[in-house]
Amino acid sequence: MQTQGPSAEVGLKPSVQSHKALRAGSFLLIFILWQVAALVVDNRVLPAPIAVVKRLFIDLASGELLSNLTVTLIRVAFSFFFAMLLGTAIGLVMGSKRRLDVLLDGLLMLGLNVPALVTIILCYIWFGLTEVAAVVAVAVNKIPMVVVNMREGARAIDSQLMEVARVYRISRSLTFRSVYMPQLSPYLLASMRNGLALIWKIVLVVELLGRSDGVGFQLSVFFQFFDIEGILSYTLAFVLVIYMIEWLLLRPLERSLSGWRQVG
Amino acid sequence: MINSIQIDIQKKLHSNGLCTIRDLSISTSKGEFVAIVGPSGAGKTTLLNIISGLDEQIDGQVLANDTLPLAQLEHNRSFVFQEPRLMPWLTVRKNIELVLSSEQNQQGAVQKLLGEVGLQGFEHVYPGQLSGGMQRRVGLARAFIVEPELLLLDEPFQSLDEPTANDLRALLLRLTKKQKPTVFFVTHQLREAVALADRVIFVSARPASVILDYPVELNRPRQIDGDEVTQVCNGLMKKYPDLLSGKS
Repeated sequence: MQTQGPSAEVGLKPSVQSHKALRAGSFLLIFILWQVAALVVDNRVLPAPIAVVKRLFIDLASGELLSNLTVTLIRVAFSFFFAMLLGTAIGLVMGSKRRLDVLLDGLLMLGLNVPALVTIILCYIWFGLTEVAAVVAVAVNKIPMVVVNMREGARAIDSQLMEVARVYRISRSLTFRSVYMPQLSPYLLASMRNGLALIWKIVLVVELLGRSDGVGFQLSVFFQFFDIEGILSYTLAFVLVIYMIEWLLLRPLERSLSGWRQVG
Repeated sequence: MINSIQIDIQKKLHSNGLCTIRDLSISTSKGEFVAIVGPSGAGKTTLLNIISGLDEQIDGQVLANDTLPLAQLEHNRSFVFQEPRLMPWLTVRKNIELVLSSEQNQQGAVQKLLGEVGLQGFEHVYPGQLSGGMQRRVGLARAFIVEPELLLLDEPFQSLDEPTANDLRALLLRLTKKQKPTVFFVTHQLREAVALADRVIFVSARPASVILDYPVELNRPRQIDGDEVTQVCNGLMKKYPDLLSGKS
């Protein structure tokens, strides 16, 4: 029998540390390139990193950045939640019921390929320039992608493990929690990560087109005033939030869901 | 309670139209250890799936106590598969606890069984970190923790080296002696069947039907590579030279 004791963990450490150094190095490289580019071109077209960071602090102090960011984050959270919930449910059903899969496949193809802009405009026309319309428009763009991913997951379910649950008469809820869902967790995580990236982008467009607050709206204001420093300062704030979500939410979730893979 | 089981299958058609079992009847009494021996692809696994209720598409029936369909009788049953089929995301202990209902789940019982099957100290290890033999120990522990009345095993020790397989066979006998379930043990190894079972049932090549029902009258404990087992095997092979290829 092979067991992996503490020695294996110790063996991992140097590579983890070198990864950290690499990551920091890549950030540094981006900043250096940015600085060099800013020196070459006109400052109004591309402000230097220091100037943008300074502006970020000013925007933070005024409170406007935080309020816009909060509004946008709430929209992202709602759209994300509904898209994941509906997309997962539809995907799992399509992956396990062949007839429904055939029935809905055409609709799915349509959903995947209609441009985001079209759904956004239609939602605003049909539901008015409202919060609901904004959230629906974003969710509708994301749902088909979740469906595709989760359908793949449902198709990959190991029927042999499901048989174990049947033979031992494991209750439906426990089977779902301990036998079915763990097999889907890689697909779920992939959906969440892609989902967040896509939803961020679409929410800003939705705000630009039909909302009077949020990061997207503010960016359009900056655009009108040709305020590139403002655009970059908001972008930087945005990037920081994304990293926080990645490191404080997604990574820990991933570790807890697939911890058994790493020790194996 | 299961006092006896009567299996009576007229015909089992596979989804691809292949007939895998035809006119097969077996009946057993409580606590009997029945080995089912037959050539590969004879439909032995299908037979276990039918007994366990996983496969219900048959012409025929599986009765308990001569009256009720087995599926309708409240009973604990266990199935040890060819592959261990453990949940890779659950630790050894969680894998075993998974098959217990919440009222059955007593810490003490799980811990005691873990000790009996030689898994003490491995409670919090994931199956992927265990060797094939150890994984099969977990499989056996999972099967016995529910104290089954009916225990089905599908070539459980295949693809293990002989010493490991022998340890596990001894473990299986220890546990069955203690809990006395009715056992159906599918294998294609005559020697293994003779060493373990009270009765060996030989089935034909596809479609499977019973060609010989042989009671093993050797005293226990038996040595799988001992002279007595060898004698019984040789005797059988002399009398029925085509037995293992599924011809009577």
